[in-house]
Amino acid sequence: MNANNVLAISSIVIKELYRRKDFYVLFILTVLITALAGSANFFNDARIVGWLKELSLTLIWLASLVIAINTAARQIPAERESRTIFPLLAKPVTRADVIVGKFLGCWLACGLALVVFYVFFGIVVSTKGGSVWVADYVLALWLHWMMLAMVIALSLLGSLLFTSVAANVTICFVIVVGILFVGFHLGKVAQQQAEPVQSIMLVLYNVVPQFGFFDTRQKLIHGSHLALVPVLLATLYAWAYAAVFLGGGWLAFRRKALN
Amino acid sequence: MPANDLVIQLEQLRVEYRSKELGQQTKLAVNDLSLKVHAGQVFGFLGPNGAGKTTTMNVLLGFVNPSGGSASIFGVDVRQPIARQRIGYLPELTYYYKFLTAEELLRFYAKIFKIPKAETEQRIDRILKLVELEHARKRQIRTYSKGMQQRAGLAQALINDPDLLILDEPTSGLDPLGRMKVRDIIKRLKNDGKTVFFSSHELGEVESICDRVAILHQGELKVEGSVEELKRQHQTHLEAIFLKVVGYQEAA
Amino acid sequence: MLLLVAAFSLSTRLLTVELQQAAGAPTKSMLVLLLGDSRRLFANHFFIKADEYFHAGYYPSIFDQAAVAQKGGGSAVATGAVTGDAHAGEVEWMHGPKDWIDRFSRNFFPSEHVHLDAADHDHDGDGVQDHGAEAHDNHDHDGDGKADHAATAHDDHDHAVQPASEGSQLREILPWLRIAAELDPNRIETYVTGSYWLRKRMDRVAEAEEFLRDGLRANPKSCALTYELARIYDEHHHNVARARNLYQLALRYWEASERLAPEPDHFILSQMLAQLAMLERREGQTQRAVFLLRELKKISPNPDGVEKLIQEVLAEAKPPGNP
Repeated sequence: MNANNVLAISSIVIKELYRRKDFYVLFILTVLITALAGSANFFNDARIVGWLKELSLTLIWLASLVIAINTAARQIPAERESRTIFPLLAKPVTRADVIVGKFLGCWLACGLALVVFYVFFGIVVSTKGGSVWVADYVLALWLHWMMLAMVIALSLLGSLLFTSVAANVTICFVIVVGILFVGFHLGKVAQQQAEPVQSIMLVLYNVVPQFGFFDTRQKLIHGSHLALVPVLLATLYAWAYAAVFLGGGWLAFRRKALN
Repeated sequence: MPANDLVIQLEQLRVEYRSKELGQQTKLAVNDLSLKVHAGQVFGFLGPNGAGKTTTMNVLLGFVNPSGGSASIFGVDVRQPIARQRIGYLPELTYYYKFLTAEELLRFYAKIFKIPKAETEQRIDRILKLVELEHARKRQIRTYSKGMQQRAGLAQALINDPDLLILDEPTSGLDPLGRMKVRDIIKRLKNDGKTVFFSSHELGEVESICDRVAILHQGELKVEGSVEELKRQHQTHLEAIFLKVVGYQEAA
Repeated sequence: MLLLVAAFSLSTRLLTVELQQAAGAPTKSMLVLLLGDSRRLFANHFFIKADEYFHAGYYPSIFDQAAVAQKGGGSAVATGAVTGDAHAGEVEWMHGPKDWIDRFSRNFFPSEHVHLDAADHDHDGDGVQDHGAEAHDNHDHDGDGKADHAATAHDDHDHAVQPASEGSQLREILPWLRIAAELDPNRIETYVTGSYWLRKRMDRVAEAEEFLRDGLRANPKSCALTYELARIYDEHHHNVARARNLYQLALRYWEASERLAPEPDHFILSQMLAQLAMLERREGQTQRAVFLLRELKKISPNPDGVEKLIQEVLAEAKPPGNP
């Protein structure tokens, strides 16, 4: 794998993202909905900020998943469909360079988008008189970004396994949102099942990427602080899963016909 | 010709695809193809549709792995990415990143070849002038006509000043003026000592600019040699030789 | 196609009219119209959300609740806490971590059992409660029996040091209660809960009263809401006559709606009788107070305590020197 090629390919992905409308539309929607919600008056108390934080963070998470999954899901299919993959691979570029380059580009682009979203979030909270604990916000943003690494890698893998982009996007969404909602609880539910369902659920519980480790919304909303060591461990966890998904993607891409 | 002069070498190349037709396990796209292209030659690679030309080019470019035999460029196995360091490729259907400008596209490919920044800008200026896209260099490719896209394709194939150019139907879809310009560029490259390996259906064009040709049919090499030699041998022009080789019988 | 559109438009209009008539008042909320009966589910969800915020995010999921229920431990959900009945029916649902995922995950969501009203009494941010909850009721922070400042001082955080973390902000439960009331105006508990926290802990008496009146508009003969309104007039406005009238009205509403019910709500009846009895006691209306306390004794789970109180009231009424 060649770092120069990876960086070159990633720069193209970032350019594509900011020239498409997706990010701007989602950001403007988030701002509008948050602004509308922020104008609501509850019992004449202008300092209520918790519900706005929850709404804002939910929108940010939704938007980030849409951007990440959609951007990643269409990278390689679009290259194949538009045949731009041919002049690219006719250069001294390997398929591994392409996979990693696409991943890095999507991930960096999503990271930039997240910074914009979280800065907006901080502005919203501070204008409402809430405390902005910068360290917590930075850690939360970092964890969110790490989660998107796993999601993007998963989406890239899906784009090489499924023929349809729409199917890949839908399946990725269902998996990610499903794990966010029930991932932590699979163990508890498994205990209440009979064999072999119990074993299957326990395996799933331990093997699926637990996206919930990266969902710190409740901590941000309720003003609890994040600790550095768990964040670092979660980072390693994310990179491990991203590497597995990218590895799987590379194996699938190696055998794939280009047209 | 000395062996170190060899640019492309194919030895008993064999490419099989899994067939979608019932009752047929594999389809033989290229069968025991052996070919040599030396430096400085303009080599025409001919054959009817489905003859195996594009498959052979795909093997040279590393898009497809051979099922048997070997293929090398400048002595390097085509499966190594480094084999593509000195080549430029123009695909038949020219699609490039629509959201990029011609300038950005060339800069991207230059970065892959690790061309220094200053030299990149000089090359971009020179190449865009050569392919007559200077006026549109800052426009996104989505706004280009087909001819302009073709020229952008040629530009990206030249960005690394390649020693070998692989062109797949370079004049396809171009008007006569466009075709003439492409022929001029190929001649200029030849004068610069570059090797050009291209496929085309325009036999008149091939006859006028190629040094050597090879004709493929049903995956097999039927004829290979210099254009003049073949014409002398068969006592006719290239198109007639082509039709004879592929077994075309004119209606009585 | 035209007929289909016309029929659809007409049915939508008629449904709106029917809903308005059924609710007894013009339905103003588009949310109510759009969501139909599912709004009650949403309202319940948002009411529980208020409880979740009351616990600063420390809250059982439906899976945790199911697990606790299966073990027969009662309800792991303590909406009793947000209704002001601290620790009523609460069962600890988060025990020791069962596996590495459970353990590690606790770093990323609130995993400490807190109540916002408890956190609200730590004014100097040292993590220790500076006084009990009742101090806020009468603004007596130093325990000398006299109010240290006016009610508005709490709105201005007129203390030496600001509260330590914004997680102790009780006001954060309010939007969820407001939305829950908007979605299900017939859910009495929402108004009772909201008005309780507004007047008791946030010194927002006017807002509490307005919220109750919103509830009464949607539920005109609610004894619970009328009773809460009476308490506002009694404890905050100190308008004895009006408070008395409202307590009595609440009792009449109770008679009309609960007396013949299969399981009458004696809890609220006992609260109404007790509060009215205390009012009459403060006003020197001993006979009236004793009568009410005797009614209370009939339904109280602690009749001896009530009898003791009756004796105290009677003793207060005897002229000095008269054994």
